[in-house]
Amino acid sequence: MKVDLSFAIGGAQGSGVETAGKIATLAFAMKGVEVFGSREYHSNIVGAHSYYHIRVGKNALRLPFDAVVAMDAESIFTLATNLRRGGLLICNSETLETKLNDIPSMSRWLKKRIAEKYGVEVKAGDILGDFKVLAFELKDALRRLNISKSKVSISRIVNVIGVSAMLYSLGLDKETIKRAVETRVSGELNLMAVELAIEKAKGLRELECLEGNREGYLMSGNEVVATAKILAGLEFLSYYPITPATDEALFIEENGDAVAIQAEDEISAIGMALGASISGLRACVTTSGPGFSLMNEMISFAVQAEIPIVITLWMRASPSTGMATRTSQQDLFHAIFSGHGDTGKIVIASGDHREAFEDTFRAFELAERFQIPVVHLLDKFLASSITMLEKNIFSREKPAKTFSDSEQRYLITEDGISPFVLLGSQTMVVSSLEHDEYGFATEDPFIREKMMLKRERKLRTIAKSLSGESFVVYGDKDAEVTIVSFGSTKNAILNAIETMENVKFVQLRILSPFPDISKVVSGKVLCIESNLGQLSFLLRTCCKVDAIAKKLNGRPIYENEVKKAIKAVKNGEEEVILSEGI
Amino acid sequence: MKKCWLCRSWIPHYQHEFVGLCIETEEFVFEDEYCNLFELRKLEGEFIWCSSCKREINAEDVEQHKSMGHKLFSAVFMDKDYREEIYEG
Repeated sequence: MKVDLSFAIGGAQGSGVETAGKIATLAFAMKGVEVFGSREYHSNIVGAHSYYHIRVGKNALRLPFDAVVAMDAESIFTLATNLRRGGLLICNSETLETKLNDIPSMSRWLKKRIAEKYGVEVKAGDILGDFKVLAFELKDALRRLNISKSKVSISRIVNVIGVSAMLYSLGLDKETIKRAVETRVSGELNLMAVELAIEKAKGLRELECLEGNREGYLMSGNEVVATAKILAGLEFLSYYPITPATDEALFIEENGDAVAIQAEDEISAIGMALGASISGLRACVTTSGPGFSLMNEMISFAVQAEIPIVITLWMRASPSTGMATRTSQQDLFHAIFSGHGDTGKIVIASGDHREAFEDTFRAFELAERFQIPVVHLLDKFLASSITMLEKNIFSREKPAKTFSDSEQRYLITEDGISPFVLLGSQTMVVSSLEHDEYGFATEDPFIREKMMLKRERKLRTIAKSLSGESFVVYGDKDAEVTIVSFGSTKNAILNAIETMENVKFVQLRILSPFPDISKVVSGKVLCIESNLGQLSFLLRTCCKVDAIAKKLNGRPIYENEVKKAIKAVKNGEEEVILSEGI
Repeated sequence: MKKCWLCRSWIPHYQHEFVGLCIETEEFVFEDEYCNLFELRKLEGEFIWCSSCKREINAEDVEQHKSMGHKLFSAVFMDKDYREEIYEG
């Protein structure tokens, strides 16, 4: 049976939303059904509204929701206003009388928007419209579970009740739900909560016994990249904590054999990693926009001294600290043009979890082969979203590593690539200064010119070497509309164009050296990106751009928004702002 | 009126304030119950928990929150594993 569901579980930050989302994704994965989950959370640590958005049967998000679990009044107002007509709302009956103005913790801007639609005196129960509502009397439910002497986590048990009722209503069986709950949270009371929830949800069940044949590991983007680094033979990681990169670093610390150091800041972090790399270790750093800013000087050093380094850059909503826990693609220019001077580098962008895994290997291979910084561009949306990855991709061998015994570390070569000599094995100097073939500093104009041209030839070699893998084309060859995009917009676009004719998608995989896609575009060119138009600016160096669809609100691009953008460009619009999201 | 939520020994759960922890019995108790240990609560301390705003407030802001009908407590109960629900970074 083909299934396509979109639902959300909401609540205050720190109140069990994370666990409930993971229970739900795990339950669908246990039945072999494709599932994709993503966490939207606030940067205030505890208290503000957050939610887990899950898509079943597809690998990208869409709005409106088909179902919502909202066990507090704020979640009802926030999420149910994005629930489709006839959708399922699971809530706490005692919150239905709560007025919008009686929720001081709620964003005043969201309150204003809701008040404009429903009036200032609106109660949570007033917006239910034609939803199917399953309202628990939560206080009585907890009394029935006899929680008084237990050591149970109240938030978690409330969410287990909500999510179990949801999963049962959406077609999962009791045993699977119990197995998923047991895997994520221990305790007999949680299983009793499942029973209680299912008893109440029995009348609502419309779908029967979802089954699929997907197998694999459920992993977040952070976990995928961390796992790939471990399997690729990472030997040294240094980082300074920053959302959304920290979880990747912590995973490596807990599970890998690499030396992992939390440095005092990002300048030190990349300095340590470059030192490790000079010494022959496979090294990387992981960071986000503000941290990457601090790494700029060292990136320039890595280019000058030709040091391999992988920089994993998880983009988030900028400028400055912006919205630290929200997504964006605003660091495209920053990644490509970072570092002072002629600092050519490689920038790879992954579109989904599988690509993030493969690109991590590729980043190490390219960094070491060309002795250059490789920026692996990802974003917060990929970092905190979960999906199922096939087990067989994890059997990949780690890239081979070879060192030269040449006496000239910076030998002038035809392809611009010098032998990589291990520090200490020959007489050599590694410094930030211009140098001769041994690395000794010089300001001789002849040598300087030779070295500049050598590094330029290296960039040409890289461009030639990567030209066949810089982009991927999906869809009709002579389409009326060509969408061009990069990064985590990939699956929203692919899902959107699946049912549309005359649309193709060019996914850019390598952004530096920037590829020439002029031969593969046709019809109107629509650039989709989560920034003010950085990609479209670069695209105009090789082809025309007829329209830009921009997402600026810090939320991911949804499948339905892509469809809207395609219709708009067909109608002659040149700019579309994609504004959906909660 | 004797209700647990008015008792000095009762601290509300930070998310679901209809239930809380009794620090005398170390049991979860619902807000509308009470027992013979009841003693009327007085707000004490530099920081006060406003369960309506779901955040700590300064002692000097107490009167303002009271005037808006907010429920105020000297402490709040967090689930022991709430940190597992929060992203690092």
